[in-house]
Amino acid sequence: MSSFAVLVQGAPYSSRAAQSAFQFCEAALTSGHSIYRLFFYQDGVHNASILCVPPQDEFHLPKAWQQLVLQHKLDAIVCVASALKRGITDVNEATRYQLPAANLLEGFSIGGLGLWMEALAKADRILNFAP
Amino acid sequence: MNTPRRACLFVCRHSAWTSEAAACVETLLTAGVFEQQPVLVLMDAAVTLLLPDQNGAPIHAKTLARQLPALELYGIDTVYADAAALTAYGVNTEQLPLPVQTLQSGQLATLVASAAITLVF
Repeated sequence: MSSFAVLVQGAPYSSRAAQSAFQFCEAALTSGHSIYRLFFYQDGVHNASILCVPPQDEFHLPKAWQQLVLQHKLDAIVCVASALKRGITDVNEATRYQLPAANLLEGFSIGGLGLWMEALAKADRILNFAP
Repeated sequence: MNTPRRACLFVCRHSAWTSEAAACVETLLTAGVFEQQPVLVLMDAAVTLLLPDQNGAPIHAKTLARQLPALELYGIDTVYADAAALTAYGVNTEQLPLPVQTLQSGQLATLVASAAITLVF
């Protein structure tokens, strides 16, 4: 069994990158592998937004990520620089920058690129899902 | 953080003014700080990073190319550029801002095979 570090660079619905990353993670966990860390980078940070509302007949990717993260207690990190630049923030960053609201899904954490570098060093395999 | 060193190949395929190129350089520098033995490979439009006298101010963009000469300070001393792309984009290899090794067709596979990790931007 392997541990995977997964980099998600695609926004939901803009390309297949995020959807493919989700399906890979789901399949890997089902097969008994582990996810050392999920790292959402660049446009991938939109996967962690609580404000996404896709049409009812479409797959709710952010909600599916959240369920996967909470069910398997995954370490899901959203790059702080990418997130703030794109209007994704947790309560701490919203307070720091005096923003009127926070919109990071429960289960995700804001963090720096150093956490991705640590994952590169420690996971057995690295996967990069980019548009 | 005490992390084992693993050679990381950063392959950039987007031009100097794109968020993809910026992300590649940002992660490349971070990998350098974490001593992950990063190697940069410029392919396709990414070779425009090597063009001289770039200035992003008129288009309100960061001039990413200005960071390249500092790569060595981050422990990044190996940069490859695809030979065909250099020709296609008219990059003069005699006036590059940093030492660059040209990569011939087929050599990328060898590089990827020798790296522990390959990230494509």
